[in-house]
Amino acid sequence: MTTLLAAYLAATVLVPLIARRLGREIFLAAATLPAVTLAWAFARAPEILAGSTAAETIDWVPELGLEIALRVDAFSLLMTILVAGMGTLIFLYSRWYFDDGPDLGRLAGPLIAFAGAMFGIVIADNLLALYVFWELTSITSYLLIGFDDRSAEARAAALRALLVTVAGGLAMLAGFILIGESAGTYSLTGVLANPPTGMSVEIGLLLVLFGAFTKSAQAPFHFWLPGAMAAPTPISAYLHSATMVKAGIYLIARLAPVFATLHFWRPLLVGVGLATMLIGGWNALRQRDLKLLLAHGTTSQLGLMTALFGTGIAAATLAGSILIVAHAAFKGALFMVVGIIDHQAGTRDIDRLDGLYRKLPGTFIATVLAVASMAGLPPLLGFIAKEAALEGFLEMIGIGWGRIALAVLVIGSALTFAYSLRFLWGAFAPKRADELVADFTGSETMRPEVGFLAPAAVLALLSLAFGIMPGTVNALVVGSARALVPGPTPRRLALWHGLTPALLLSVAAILGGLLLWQLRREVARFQERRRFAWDAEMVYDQTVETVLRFANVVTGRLQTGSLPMYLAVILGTVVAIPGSTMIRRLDWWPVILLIDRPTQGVIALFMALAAILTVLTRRRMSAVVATSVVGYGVAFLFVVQGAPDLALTQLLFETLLLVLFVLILRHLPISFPGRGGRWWRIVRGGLAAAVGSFITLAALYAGSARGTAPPVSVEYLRRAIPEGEGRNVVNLILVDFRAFDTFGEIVVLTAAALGIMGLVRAARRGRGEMGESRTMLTFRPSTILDAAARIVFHTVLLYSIILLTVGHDHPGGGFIGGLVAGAAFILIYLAGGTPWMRRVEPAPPELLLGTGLTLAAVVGATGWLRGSDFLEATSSTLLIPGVGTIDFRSVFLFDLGVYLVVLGLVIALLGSAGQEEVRQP
Amino acid sequence: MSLTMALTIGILFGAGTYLVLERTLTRIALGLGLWSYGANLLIVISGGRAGAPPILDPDAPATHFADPLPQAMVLTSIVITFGITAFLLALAYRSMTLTGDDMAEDDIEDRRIAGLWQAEREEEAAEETEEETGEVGGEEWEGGER
Repeated sequence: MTTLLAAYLAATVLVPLIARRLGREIFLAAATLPAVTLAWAFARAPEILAGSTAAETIDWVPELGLEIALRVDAFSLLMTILVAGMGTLIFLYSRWYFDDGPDLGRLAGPLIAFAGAMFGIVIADNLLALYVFWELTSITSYLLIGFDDRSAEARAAALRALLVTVAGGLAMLAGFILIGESAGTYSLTGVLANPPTGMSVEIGLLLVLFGAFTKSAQAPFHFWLPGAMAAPTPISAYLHSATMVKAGIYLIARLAPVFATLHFWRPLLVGVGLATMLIGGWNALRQRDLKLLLAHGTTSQLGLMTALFGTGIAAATLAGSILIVAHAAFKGALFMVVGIIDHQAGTRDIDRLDGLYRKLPGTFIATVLAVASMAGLPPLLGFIAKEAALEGFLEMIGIGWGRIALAVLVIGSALTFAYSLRFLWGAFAPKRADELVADFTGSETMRPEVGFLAPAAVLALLSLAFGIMPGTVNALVVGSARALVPGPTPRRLALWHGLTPALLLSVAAILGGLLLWQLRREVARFQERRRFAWDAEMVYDQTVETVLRFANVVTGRLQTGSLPMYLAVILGTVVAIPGSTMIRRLDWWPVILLIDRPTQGVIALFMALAAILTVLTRRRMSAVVATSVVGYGVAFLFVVQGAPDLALTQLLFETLLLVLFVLILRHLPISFPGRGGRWWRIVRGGLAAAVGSFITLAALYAGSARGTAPPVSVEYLRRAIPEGEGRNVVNLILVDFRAFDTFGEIVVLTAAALGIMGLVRAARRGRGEMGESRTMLTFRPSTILDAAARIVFHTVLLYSIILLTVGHDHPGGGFIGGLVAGAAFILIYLAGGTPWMRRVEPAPPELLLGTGLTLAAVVGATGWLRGSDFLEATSSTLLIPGVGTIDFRSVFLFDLGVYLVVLGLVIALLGSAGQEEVRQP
Repeated sequence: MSLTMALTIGILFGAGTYLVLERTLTRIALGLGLWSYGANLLIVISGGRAGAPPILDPDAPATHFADPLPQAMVLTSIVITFGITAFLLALAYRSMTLTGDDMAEDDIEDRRIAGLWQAEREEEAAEETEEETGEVGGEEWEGGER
């Protein structure tokens, strides 16, 4: 079984690839796969019908209870024969239906995928796997209905079918999960063997039924099926009549015998099923398009199947099984006939077809057989199915609504008889002697090729053969019914059971149908007058429209395009949701320490004042300087806290940032533009206060969490000297313990540096094009600065290298060393501008960045060469002749890479933000 | 966590929030800077009371030192913040050369989506007036509006 499924998967990929070369012969090639499946089913049939089952299981995601469990019992066998048998015939038929074209691969691929998915549905024993196959059929159905992608109608119909069936599918998934979790297993047989009970199971079942109803086009979701007739006829015959729409029926049939005793089950299923039967039959009576007539007829028959299987009793289940077979045979044949008529006569309109029985005698005979089966006339299989259905409902006559159900069934059968006659009359009867009409379908109408007609003829003959010799299908349908409802076997199929009540009702239905046919003009007039003010389709359309409009309104309101507005919404949410939770849980009021060390208070005061000044000032430069004060304050707080590395980094970056701001601000106006509206300032102020309070609370809260568990860093402190061979633990974390993070960080720095260089270059080019005057920083040579820079430059560079090398044991390291080196270049830049800096820089910034990054990566990769992890540190002792030995550690090289990247960043910034280079022509 | 420090961090965040809700890129950059100061302080100070710098002295007990892990995290954070701020400034500079100022304009695509809804509402309003008065011709409306 898994082999077959895998073959379908492979064929799905392969078929579109070779389709172009084979043209329409691709359908013949593809037909082999369903044919093989059919052969497999026949080969396994004897043992399965004897009562054994074939099962296979492949683990997929065992953690989720997801496995591809396959199991074939008699009912699955029946469905498999249906899917594979119809599939074979449909592929053969398609060979003649379609003309050669470039798009056939787009049709044959999804079609074979569908055949595989449908096969999967009927043999899946895991609910989740079943769901996956189920949705696959929805998707392939969507692709096939919308095959004619230039027709807006086909696209709309495809989308509608998809939305309805997938909405049902999603509900079904939720239902499966509810059921599976309650049962403790996702195995279908497991659930059915030990049915779970309880509220959640009942809700789950309702959701599953919702899915089944949408898939099988039950009222009020029946409206997508007629629309699906936009698909090419072979697709309609296969998906939307014989197989896919029976997936819901299949599921109902599986579940009903176990769950039918639930109070809502039978009224719901029998009610919905019979209502659908009436609606479908009634609508079929007024169709002028033969294909739509069949579509509504299909809805009607599906309703009957839902009602039959929904009862969960043996006799009705047997009737349902027979009906599945009978329906597939006659409806498949009739769809194919419609395709032939459409193909040969060029129309499917009842009013334009005239006297076709003379032109297409073979087709006519096949149609008569199939229609007779649909109408429920002996000696065809449809008659046996209807008899069985009536008997099934007769068994329930004792239940309160049993009589009503029986009456509705008879009325439904009468409708079926009437629309069957309408189909035969519409397709073939001579209607008018009107020359014009006769001419239209006249001379060009050619007899179909033998291969074109053969599949329909086979199905029609099967309807007859099974009817005359019910023994041929007896084992299969009785076996299915027994597999579904264990217990005493219903009796054998036969045409003649004697003068039973069922026979009398059957005769009544036929007479009723004849009456309806006789009164067809009156019925038509009545139908014209009694159009419903609204129907399910309109409800669907309005729902879709409402959803779209709602989405528009919400998007229009929320997505205004304003950055401050977005930020305000995000921040407001942060304050409102976690903030309110925090306040509600405020039973902790931590032991609040007013202050840690007195120096903190002084620094904090300065910082607070500077922060407020940043907000209040209208001048750019003051705002920048005030922010810098805050930054330096942070550095001092780090010193107090016992973090010298941080303090150094913060100080250096603060300085660099200040220089950068000044360089950029030269180009910008001195003051900020207007303050914005008054109410907006109030909102911002309120939000700022709220965020500030929220963070204060959160800080206190977070601080009080300390001490609930031992800190991670205890381990770092312990391992620093034995494993890291260093004493500066912060540096060890950066270059050794958590070196991969640092590696990521220097990648980000490199990216930022390159981005900045690109942006500034683009900006300058833009300026040049606009012909604006270049802003030049004119240097007033300062002798003192110049002299100082010359003296200090090399000293500072040397100091930066010392910082780099001692970083392992003392404050310092790659980041700090790189920044100090950068500071040396800042000095040179301030004293002599870009030209001087260009002279002293060791390499262009791109080269520094690239070298640093490469070095770090190579050092990391050597870890792999030694068979350990990326960036795993090593140490080795180098013997240098004449000097002695040097302890050498790989992390030093890594730190050197960091150093180079940081230096490259600084030089890149100075080069970009600073004075423009005057290029000599 | 001492109250003084918590309040300081709160003030930094509050001031940063006010600045970030601006349209001027310079102020947004400064606001982000204040936020990151606050966040860095918060992380370091959540690491416990002040202690000796984590430069190991084998004789001292582990509790003697300040927690090194938040420090390493914040060192990374400072460097990244610097990269982002510099990038923002470059954006401001680029915006300056293109538009003459460093304002963050509304997203055009977003405004178009919002306009979609507005247009629909106006259309409906037009239809309603049409129905009510029965006289205002559709052409007139269309001519006037578009």
